[in-house]
Amino acid sequence: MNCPACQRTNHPRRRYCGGCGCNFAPACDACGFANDRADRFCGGCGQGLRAAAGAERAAAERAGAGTPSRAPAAAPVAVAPSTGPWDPSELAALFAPAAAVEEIPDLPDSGISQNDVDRLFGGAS
Amino acid sequence: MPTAVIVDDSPLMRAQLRQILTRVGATVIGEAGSGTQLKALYELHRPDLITLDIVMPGMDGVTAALELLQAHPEAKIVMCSSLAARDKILACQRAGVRHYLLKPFDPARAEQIFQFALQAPANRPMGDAP
Repeated sequence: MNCPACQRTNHPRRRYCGGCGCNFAPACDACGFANDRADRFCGGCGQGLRAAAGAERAAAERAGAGTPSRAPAAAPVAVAPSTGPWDPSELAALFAPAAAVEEIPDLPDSGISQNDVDRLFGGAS
Repeated sequence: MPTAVIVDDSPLMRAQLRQILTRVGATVIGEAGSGTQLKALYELHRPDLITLDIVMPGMDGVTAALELLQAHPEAKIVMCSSLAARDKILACQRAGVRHYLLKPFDPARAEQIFQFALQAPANRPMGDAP
């Protein structure tokens, strides 16, 4: 998984980028539900989310300063849903099927073979 | 010509790895029998590839790999161990180790893995944000 802010390759299980600290799973300010970065509304309470943009901006600022930090990105901010008419593109994005999740190669608990290891590390199989 | 360092406490294994590395076109420029010597060897020679055993006297290979990759994330390490423990292998992968060769190994497979690691792009050093 590549960090959207600094492009560093991270393990898919990471919650924060190892290079810039960008938050990959922003929690909703209102209910604490861990949402995906692409979510615009909280999966726990329906609040509008502004986390992705905020985290990216914070990460980009840190990356620009040239000092990597282990500190997580700024806490996501919940915003009130728009009261105006819905934009059709917003609705389409809201109801679009979730992107396919990349399957993470894993190892068996025992009896690990070189083929298992090759699948995990890639190449050379 | 790519260069390599072998860290393994068995002289026999070091000789076998040297032969395989020579076949893939790498020059072995350093050898050690313990993980404690890895960082100094790397900083002295800056090899293109390191083969690293795990169970060794002094510092074990996993600790040595973690220590080296923290200081030099661009280092290309291939673990060569008979240890097939899931947690060790995953710890190595998460730390940025390039591959893991299980002993006893098929020399042809070892060649493939070394070539794969040598051809892979270098990890980006920490803090080197684009």
